[in-house]
Amino acid sequence: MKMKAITAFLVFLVILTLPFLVSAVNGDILSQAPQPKLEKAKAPAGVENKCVEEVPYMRANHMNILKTARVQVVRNGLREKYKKYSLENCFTCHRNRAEFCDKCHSYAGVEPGCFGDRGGCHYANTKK
Amino acid sequence: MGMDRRTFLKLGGAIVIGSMITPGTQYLLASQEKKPGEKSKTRWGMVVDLNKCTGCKVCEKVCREENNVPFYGNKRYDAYWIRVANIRQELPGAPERYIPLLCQHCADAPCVHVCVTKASFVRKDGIVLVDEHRCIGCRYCVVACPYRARSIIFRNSNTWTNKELPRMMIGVATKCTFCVHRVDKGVEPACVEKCPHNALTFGNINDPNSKIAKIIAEGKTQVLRPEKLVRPGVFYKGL
Repeated sequence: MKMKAITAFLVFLVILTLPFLVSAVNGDILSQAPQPKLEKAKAPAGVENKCVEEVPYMRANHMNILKTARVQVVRNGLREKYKKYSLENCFTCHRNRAEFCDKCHSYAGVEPGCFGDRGGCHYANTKK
Repeated sequence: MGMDRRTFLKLGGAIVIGSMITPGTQYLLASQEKKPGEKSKTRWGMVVDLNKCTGCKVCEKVCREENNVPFYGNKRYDAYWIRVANIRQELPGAPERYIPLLCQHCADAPCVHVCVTKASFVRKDGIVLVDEHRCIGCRYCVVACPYRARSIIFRNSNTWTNKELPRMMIGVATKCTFCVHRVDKGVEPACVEKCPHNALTFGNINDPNSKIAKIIAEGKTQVLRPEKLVRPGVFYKGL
């Protein structure tokens, strides 16, 4: 009876720690997953080859930046101040929408509502 | 006990009455606060001269092209930001008269008061706008507007003549924005610029030196439905 209880407890422990065990055996799975490969953005002539914020920050927070800019422009009319954070401005360097937006978004399973194929209101001024 | 019954009752009564009055004074103070578009330096407005309007409907067409307002050819779905109505004549043989109707950009806009999501709002310069990301299409504002200035988009639209602005998609309330993207750049709205008879004047009502303020100061302008007390920003001359 006591033996049975201990076995059951051990099995429970193994199930509980399964995620840790798997990653201990396999290493970091996330970094092993195939990452989408992006080509580098090229600024057109006359524009500084630099994003509005640092690249890792943009990678994590570009949606918040776009949202803030949208609210400030629509609600407070700060069109000039937030011009550099506008979607239009992104496309001056990130010319290829399929490359820069769609590739990562379809990899992560997130559809950007801005210019998606269903219900997109904004015009993506890029080659597709 | 250093208090007799009389002082105790007096004090208690004072506290009760005081606690009843204080919230009331808060409301009084709040009602004296600044209302949008009232004391700010700019309040955009428009004067429509009905004596000059010939009902050519150029403004309707120009507005559709500028703001991607959809037109389906079906009266049930068509959206209008500005529409030219024919004034019914009582006397036979009277000349035809037309009146361009658009959002009146009220300072006390009823559409803003009823909006459940706060998608409708009055900007500091008096322009009433809809945040289309926030609008859920409940149509309260369409019912509340005394001027029928709002249109619900009932069908997805392919009208996309001006690529700078978003296309209109199903399920939001839309209305005249005074071409806010142009006004912010310092350009007049499209209908004002393209009107072939110069019937429309756009400008800052609160600036006494502006052309529009001088026309209003002449005292020959009227607002539509003044009994609604919504303080519109669009004035009509020769009504």
